Amino acid sequence: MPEMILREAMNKALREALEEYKDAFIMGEDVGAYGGAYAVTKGLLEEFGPERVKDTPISESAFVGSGIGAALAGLKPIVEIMSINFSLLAIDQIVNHAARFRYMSDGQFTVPMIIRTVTGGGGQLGATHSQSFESWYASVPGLKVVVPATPYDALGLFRTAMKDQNPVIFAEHSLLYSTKGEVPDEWYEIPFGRASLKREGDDVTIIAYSGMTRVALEAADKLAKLRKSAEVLDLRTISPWDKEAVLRSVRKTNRAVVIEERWRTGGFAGEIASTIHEEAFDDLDGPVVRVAGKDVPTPYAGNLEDATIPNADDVVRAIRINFGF
Amino acid sequence: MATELTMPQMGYDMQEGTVVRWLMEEGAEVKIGDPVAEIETDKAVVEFESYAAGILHRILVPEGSTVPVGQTIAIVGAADEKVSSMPVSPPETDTPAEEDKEAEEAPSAAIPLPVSSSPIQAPPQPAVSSSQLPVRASPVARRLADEMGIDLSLLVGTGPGGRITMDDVTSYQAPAEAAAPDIEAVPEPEAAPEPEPEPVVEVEPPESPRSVSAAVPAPTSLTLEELSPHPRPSDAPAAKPDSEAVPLSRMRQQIARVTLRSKQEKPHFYVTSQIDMTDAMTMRQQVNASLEEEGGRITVNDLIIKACVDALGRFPKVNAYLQDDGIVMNDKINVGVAIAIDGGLMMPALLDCGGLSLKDLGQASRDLADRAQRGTLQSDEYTGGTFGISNLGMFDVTTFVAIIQPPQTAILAVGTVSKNAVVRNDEIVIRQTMHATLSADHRVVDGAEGAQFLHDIKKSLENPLSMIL
Repeated sequence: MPEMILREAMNKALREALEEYKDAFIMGEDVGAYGGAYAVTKGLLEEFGPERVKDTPISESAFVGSGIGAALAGLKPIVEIMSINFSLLAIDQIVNHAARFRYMSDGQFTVPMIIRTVTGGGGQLGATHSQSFESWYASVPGLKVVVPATPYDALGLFRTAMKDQNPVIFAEHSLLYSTKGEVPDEWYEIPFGRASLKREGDDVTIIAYSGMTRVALEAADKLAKLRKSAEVLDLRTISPWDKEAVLRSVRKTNRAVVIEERWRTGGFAGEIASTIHEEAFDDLDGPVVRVAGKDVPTPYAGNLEDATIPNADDVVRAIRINFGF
Repeated sequence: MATELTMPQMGYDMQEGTVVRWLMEEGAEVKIGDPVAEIETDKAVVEFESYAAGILHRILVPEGSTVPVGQTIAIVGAADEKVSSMPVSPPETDTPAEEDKEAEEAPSAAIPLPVSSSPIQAPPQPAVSSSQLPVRASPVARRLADEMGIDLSLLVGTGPGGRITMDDVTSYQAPAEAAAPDIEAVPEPEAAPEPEPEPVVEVEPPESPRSVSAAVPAPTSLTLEELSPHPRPSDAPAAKPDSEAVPLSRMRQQIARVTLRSKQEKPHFYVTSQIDMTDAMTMRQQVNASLEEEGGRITVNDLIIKACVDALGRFPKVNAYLQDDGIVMNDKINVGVAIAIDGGLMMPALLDCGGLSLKDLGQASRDLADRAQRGTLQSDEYTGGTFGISNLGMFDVTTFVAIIQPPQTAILAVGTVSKNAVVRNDEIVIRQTMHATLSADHRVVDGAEGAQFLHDIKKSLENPLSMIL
């Protein structure tokens, strides 16, 4: 099976989207001539022309609003917001407009728009460029939120996003663009709300997504040295999220840890943990544990930034303290 | 803000520790560095110093309890601080004064069903009546106990904070008395006089292997089978009814874990050499004669340690250890010396002995052995060794091979010094000789290097003046 990195998988996804869907177009800051801040749209302007790959001014609210208008009018906009940090400038458009039209028009209008954006920290980009707001969007009804961790998942999920009639936030983690993985030539799609079982285990379930999937797998390796087997689930989408897979796994292992890269307070890990407590309480052998980012603005200094992001040792320590492993 | 004092990691491979004794009482004032408790690690009892200042508000773990590294064992905070909201505190912090008194008498009452080293079948302590205290059990443990008809108040929890876990329930075996009525309750078959039902009633249920292991301190003990990553129960001999399994002591568990791990991880190879000790023995006598007045003394083992220290300086790889990403050279030479003690052995290290003279080395090793017997070694000394020596000379052993102590790379096994016929200058003469065998980790050093290292030791011992100059 051919291997590619996540950046190449996304480039492939966008190219085939423009080929398959005549109504689709890309717009955003630096997506055209520059090829994208993370080089994901490289070569697409040359191939498809400025009508379908549009550079915009620095005006998130305006170009997201334009995307909504285009979607209402029947096009399939793929809007790129360079960083999820900048999406706050367009949050009114996203929450109060994109996510509301279908409901408020009683289904007469839909906004089948994809907002591609880059999330995550760990790159020493400072407190305003290292945040992970995907959990905020996951709390908004009317939006779907996709958070892939592998090239295979990125391509398969994007194909599903292209078919979805709702606004989709497609959050790619900046540190995963060079992640390698197998991507088959044959067509496949990955439905939303279906977690990926990365590893089977019996003693504890580790639930993660996006950049934290790698941390979960590392923690599972470390636990194996303690002769404990961890089951690792990558959620892949957090709205909708695969409650059934999580509950099934927790009912098997009786213990659960949820990892989230950013702030612990009000984070998505808390949502998952609460759901497990509510629906699988009698199967739990200990509290569902959150391992999440520290509740601080992200420091610029690399060593300090690392201290705010969960790593595998944090996960193992939390497991040992809470479950007595 | 209150600080939680947690079970410290005090050495290589330490996963849990036992609070032997609290040196302070709740309410006492603590400064940073004050010893608050004695903690027993796998091999030693070490004083645990507070890393927070304030009032020792709560002691969460009773004496004798074993808890994993990282678990909160006490809370230190400001004088006016309320700790009742602490997550690990028991729910009944605002109990009437009477119960508080009880709690003082029996420390275990401070926490409902603490992790304790008492056997599972032990009846609840009088001070802790199960009706007085809520049972801390995980939800799944409650559900299973309910399904299996087990009274949770009879169990001792092995989970964090003494929580009864799923495993505690599934591994619980009802005491023999409890099982008897069930057997009697079986109605005697009237129409079948042939098989005598009576013996069945009288036979006491044999102690099953499970309940034997349950008598071992449950939270910490590992059976040999559990220590092995590839348990092969089918190979194990069936437990004979009259044989009794002796629970592994903490030290035996640790020795089992460390030696098994060493043999699994480290490809050992061995190099043996015969060393002529005649000159070394003569020099030792002379040195001891001159040291007699000041009370100093050096032993054969000191000479061997000195020869090893010098050789390690010249062969730093033998003093190194292997990590995932490469060979790490230790900047200090810490020679560990195997010492047999009651029920096992330990290998405390002479720390930073690279620059010591023979006389100082002799003193240091005597001091180390003394403190090892008294159990007052520092945790560094237990875990800091970079090379090992095992000497069985006093048992008239000619030669043997030793297991490397992880994470070290090599260990020298030395036998007894005895008179032997040796060929020197084409004549047979009587010399005092000794065999030494180096065990080395082939991932770090090769046979030729091991041989050169051993030869270096041999050269020093055969030309003992080189160790003094």
